[in-house]
Amino acid sequence: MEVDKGKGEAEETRKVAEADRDTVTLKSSDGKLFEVSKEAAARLSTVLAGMIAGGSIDDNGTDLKQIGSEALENVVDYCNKHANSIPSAALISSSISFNTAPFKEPEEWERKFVDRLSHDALFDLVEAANFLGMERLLDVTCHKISEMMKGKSPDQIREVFNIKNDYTKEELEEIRQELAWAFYDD
Amino acid sequence: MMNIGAPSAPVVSPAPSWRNFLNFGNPFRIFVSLALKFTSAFISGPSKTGEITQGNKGRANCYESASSSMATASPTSAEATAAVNNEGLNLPTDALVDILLRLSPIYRRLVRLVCRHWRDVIDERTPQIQPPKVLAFFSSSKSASAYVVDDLAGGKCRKVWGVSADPDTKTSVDVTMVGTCNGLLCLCDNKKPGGTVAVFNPVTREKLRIPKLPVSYRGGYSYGTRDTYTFG
Repeated sequence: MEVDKGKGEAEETRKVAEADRDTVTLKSSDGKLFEVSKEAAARLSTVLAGMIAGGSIDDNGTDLKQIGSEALENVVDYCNKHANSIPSAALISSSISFNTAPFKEPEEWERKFVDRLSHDALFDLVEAANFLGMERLLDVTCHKISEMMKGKSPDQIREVFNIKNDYTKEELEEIRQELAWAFYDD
Repeated sequence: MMNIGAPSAPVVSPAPSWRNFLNFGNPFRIFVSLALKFTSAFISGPSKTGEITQGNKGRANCYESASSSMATASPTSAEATAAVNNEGLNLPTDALVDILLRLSPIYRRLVRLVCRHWRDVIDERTPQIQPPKVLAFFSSSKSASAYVVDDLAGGKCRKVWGVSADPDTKTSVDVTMVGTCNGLLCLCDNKKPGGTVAVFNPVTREKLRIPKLPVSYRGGYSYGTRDTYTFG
């Protein structure tokens, strides 16, 4: 029942989108233009949904000054892949179960999508997803980063993520001592 | 209260601040139960709490809050933080929280070592395991009491349970602590043969008597021996 209802709703949204224009043009911080399906953009990004609903979409390219072209390309790529690979019914049922399972495992294609990204591209994509309110993409990228961290020592994490150690020696020692308690370590 | 003096006090004296703590009461027997499970315990002493509050001020950009506290520490480290801003990982804090929440609580404690920003985010935005506290149990023929040490470094503690003998009558107290688990105390009153065992909840002040256990007891011949119970 719900599946059919979901399809129906999605089709309705699509019809509404087609009534106007079915893509939106987004402009990156460095001026590159990207086309993305209006339906997918509205479905996957709360910010773009708000802009589309509020009519603040510019046909000549909506300025997204916070997002570089590489990240925006990935965002658009993700939206398109999402529109193609996941039937809208599956998405709706996943959003229903969202409350019970706060972190949903990424789909196989989503895994592949983030696996091919360089570290920098991945982090830029997290920022873009965060900025655009793309919950699902944020979920997938954060999942990937947490996977990258697993089993790594704090030193290795700093190295991989290019984080400067801003602790003093004394502070580091203090925290280590706390951890000695935590891990029953001498 | 009698003062027994030196011999009994040093039974447990892991840190200087403990001595004061252990000196009240006159422990004929001191049972100190260290409720240490895996966690950082008392770690969050007064000094560190201060730093956390400092980090609290500027949460919009946590690198900024880190650098402001660094600046007071030393000029060279201020440069180091500037470098973080330029080339380092600069995730939105919400996304960092999202990532950190996916890690196990123990591993999350470990990655507090990465940098100040991560430590602050972990301390403020992710749930923590309640740090275990030290429980000290004193008992003598006149009184028995249990104390919880809230702040080991500062020596702050509070009494969570206690009985004392009525000074008018010549009753004596003979209570031992069997064990402690999840904040409950299991106490044994040895006055009756075989002992009366009860579980006590210091928070609700509820007491639950454990039904008499089918232990063997051989009349008056068991003097000097004690039934052994464990609780955990």
